[in-house]
Amino acid sequence: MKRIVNARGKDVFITFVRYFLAIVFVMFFIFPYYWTITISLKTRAQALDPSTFIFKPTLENYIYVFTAWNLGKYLFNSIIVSISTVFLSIILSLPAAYSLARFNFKGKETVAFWMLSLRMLPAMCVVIPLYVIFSLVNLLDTHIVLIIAYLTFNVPFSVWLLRDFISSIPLEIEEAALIDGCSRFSALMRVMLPLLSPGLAVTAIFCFIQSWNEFALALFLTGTEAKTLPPALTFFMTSVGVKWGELAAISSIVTIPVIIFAWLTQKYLIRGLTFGAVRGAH
Amino acid sequence: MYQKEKPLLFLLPSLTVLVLVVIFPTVFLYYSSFFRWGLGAWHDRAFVGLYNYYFVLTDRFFYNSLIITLAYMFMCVTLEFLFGLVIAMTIAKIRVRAVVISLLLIPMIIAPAAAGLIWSLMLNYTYGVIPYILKKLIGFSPAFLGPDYAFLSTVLVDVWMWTPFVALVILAGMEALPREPFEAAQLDGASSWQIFQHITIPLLKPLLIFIILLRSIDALKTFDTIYVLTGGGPGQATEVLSLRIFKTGFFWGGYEMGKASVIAIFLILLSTLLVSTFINIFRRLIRV
Amino acid sequence: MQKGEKLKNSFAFDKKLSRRKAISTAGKVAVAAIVSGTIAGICGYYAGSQAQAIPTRVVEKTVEKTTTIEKTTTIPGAISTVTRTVTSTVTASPTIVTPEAEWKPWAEEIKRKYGGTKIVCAMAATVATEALEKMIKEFTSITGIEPIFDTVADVYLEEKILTAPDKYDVLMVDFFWIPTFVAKGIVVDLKPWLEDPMRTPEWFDYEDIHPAYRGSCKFGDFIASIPIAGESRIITYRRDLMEKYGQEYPRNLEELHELASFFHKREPELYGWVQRQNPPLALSGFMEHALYEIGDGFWDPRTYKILISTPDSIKALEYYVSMCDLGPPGHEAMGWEESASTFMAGHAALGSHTTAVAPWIEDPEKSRVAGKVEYRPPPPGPKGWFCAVAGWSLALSAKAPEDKRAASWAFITWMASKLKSKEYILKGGVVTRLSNFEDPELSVRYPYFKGIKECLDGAYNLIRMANAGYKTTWIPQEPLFGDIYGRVTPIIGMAVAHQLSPEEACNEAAKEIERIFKEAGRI
Repeated sequence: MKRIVNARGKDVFITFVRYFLAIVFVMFFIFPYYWTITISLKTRAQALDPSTFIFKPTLENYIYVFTAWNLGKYLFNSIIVSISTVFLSIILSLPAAYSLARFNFKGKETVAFWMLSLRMLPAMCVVIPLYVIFSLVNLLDTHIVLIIAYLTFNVPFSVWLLRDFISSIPLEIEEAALIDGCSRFSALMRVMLPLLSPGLAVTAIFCFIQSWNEFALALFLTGTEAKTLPPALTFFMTSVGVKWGELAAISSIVTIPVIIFAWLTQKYLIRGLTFGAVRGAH
Repeated sequence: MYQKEKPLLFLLPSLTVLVLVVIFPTVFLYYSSFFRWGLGAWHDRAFVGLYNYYFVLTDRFFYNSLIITLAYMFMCVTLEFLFGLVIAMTIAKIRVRAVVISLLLIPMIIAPAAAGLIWSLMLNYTYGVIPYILKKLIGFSPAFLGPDYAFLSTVLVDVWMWTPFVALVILAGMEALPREPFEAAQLDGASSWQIFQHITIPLLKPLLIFIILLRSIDALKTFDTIYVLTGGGPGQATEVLSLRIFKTGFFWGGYEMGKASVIAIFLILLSTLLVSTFINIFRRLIRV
Repeated sequence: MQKGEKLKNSFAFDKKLSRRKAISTAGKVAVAAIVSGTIAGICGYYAGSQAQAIPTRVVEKTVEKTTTIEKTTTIPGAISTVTRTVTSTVTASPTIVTPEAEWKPWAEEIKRKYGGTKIVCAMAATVATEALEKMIKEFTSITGIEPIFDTVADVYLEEKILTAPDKYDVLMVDFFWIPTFVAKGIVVDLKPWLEDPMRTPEWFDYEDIHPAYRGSCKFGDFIASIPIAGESRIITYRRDLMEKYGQEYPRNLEELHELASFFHKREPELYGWVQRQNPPLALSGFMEHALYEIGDGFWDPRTYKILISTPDSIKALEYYVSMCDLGPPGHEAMGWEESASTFMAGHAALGSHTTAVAPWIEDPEKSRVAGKVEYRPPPPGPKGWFCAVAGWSLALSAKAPEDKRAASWAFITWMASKLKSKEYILKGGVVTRLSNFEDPELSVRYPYFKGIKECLDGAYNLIRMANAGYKTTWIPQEPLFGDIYGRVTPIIGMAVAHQLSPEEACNEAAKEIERIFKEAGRI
């Protein structure tokens, strides 16, 4: 504290500017979310009137959304699909990440690059073939179809992230285990995994958030049985008009779990966001 | 010791899955682009050879979408980059940084569809809070979702969602920089601005290029927010390629999935082109 | 920047994440998950047990007044003038009389044969569906049949039905989809069902449904569905403004345009014309207001000659675009609700709305102009007087198992019958029957019924001409119309947004229609 007070005038001014700008930025980024919550607590008429800043909050939108629109089912679907796909992705990506990090073989960089490039596959491109294929095997509108479809972006992403985390663990630890007589695989399980748990956490968190928020694939590949939360938002965009109150309520339900989740795990989130970028760039 | 192991065995599970879930559908996409078929009527398909390609390449709406997609990508990435840089510089040294960062996470974490919807209410000329405030402050407000400004509104929403991400990554990069050049420069008496210009930016260059690449790829893919915000825009004002695919194949159209497949193929090619260009720039930069 | 600062201020970007912290965080996450899971479970349980009970959002008011109404109606462009005098006394809520004797034998027979059947209905989220939901309980108690409503937003219903038609027994079909559905064999021809007195009781009265609606649900001789919620487009005028400025009601489309321009921006925040135009449905607006009355239509049904790019049709599009320009800012993105809200807030002198929102305009709790509005059908244009008609209907799914068909038909018969129609309307349903239009009690409660009926008479004009082969019906009876609509509507949207000139737009539209016909081998 003393530093700021005693510093030269110029420094105080810059610091003040920094804080002021920071507040402005934060308000800009948070405001829409604050607005979502307030709209969800307003009645229908109030939601449409932008001038009502002070009002009596009501839970009618939330109740309506749960009773009349079967939201419990969509919430359940979202949870099942997100958790399952995260599990599956990690199980599938771990060996690949390990081999890309530890082994040296011909074409390694090509494979790595190819996996990274899968990230650029737009959902709309993938949805057409997936739709046809799954309709032929009659698996549309089930949980399985989404779990598999989400592998499209979760596996490359996990491989990429896990590869970085594995590389950051020193080789010596593994070599010590190998010298002690472990096989490659058991070295992986007994020695690496515990050390890797923060990395696994980061990957799991990211995959979960991405899967939870995913919209395009869920919209097209599911009907009413396995629909997850984000496409349920569109039910309220009728051609008559949008039911803003209910929509805001669902938006809150879709986003609040993720926000709480992210707040609890933010260190991991930030680590994951930046780790991949900072390392990947170097 | 390593040679005994079989690296491919480790790779196999994920490679198999990816081949099934990505390669196979992509091949299917190419295959289906030679047919005239409709949603739910794959068995009804009719072979038309290259007709779909001919159609798409002579379709004015396709080129319109192409231009809008590229314009969207350039504007979003540029703005996010500049603002992200500014934000990173601003909050780099304040003490409540942890709180600020955790608050800034919110736009990225919200489902893009939910974010798009709330922006569409906020920008709505009749019901929205932003035109309301503008009208109170300066007497009039542009129609944000009308044909003149819808495109800028979609850019606004994307910038709102992803600038924190850019800022965060730049911040991380700044923290990871070595101390010595900065200390040396300070000893030499350089001003903050000079330090910034000649040391920070060059050292951050690889990271900055990387983040620009990442955002560009994601900007090309955008579907959720635009779909929910304008549905393609009044007229064709905000119809990026993803939306064009959607409108061609999925909405009201009966037998246009072949054409939708063609547009999807072009989108993938565009992304690939972009990535390769960037990788080349990247490699050249690293060498220098 | 001092040396020691770095480690303290660095925000964990490079710090190693310790295992213990990871476990404690995992613990926190697990606790949060369990708590929220419990809450979600409770909500889900609550939702499940309340699945059928839809909380109503309709405020019911009892009308207590005695009124004598004398109305003389003149239908412009009609062959004769119709004068109607209606006197009615209303003291309390309109009476709903469904004499048990009429339906009891039928119900008992149904219960005996099909009691206990569950039928799945694919429904769209509309006010009509909400009204029907309120009537389910009674239906189940007297027939033993349980309808299960699978309700989605209307824009997704078509896709849903097309991808899984065998899952549903009863389909709610938008008039627009009927040509496509009939061509794909998704709906059952209801003609034999209607003509069989064993299956269709007398109190159903098919002929009582307005002919414009009935005609829209047919495809040639094939009766595809029973109209349950029809709508037309009605023009609303601000009576107070008309009287203030001494304006007269327009007798044709030209005068309508002049009137709208007169009011446009005459007062602050007042615009001339408001209607819904939201992008996916831009073509509907054009069809409703100008294409048939000024222009020549899409194509000639006899020769498949494309008519949308004739000079008259181009004039029609110019007219339509200039009318849209008289709207408030942001009009290109407005849906029904928004355009109605703009009118209800008093910002527009004239408006074109679906008849389904008329109740809102008259609701003093929602609308600032309630009681000050005149409802009239759109005036005729140079080519004739053709009003729009659209709506929802109930159909039997052809792909569903046949044993449920009779139960499904019982459902449709009951819900759409003349017997239950009054109750249906009072519960929020949409009027479709001549007997309801002429019911004195309902006319007092819903003063816009008269206007709606006139619109439908106008709509019937076009249907009559189509039956005679001169023109396509308002929704052309062509299975490819869905594709055509999808390709042409963005073009019209671009014209309205001034991204294309009307002439360019019409030519583009003509090219698209030609291409679609060619690809399908039609020409």
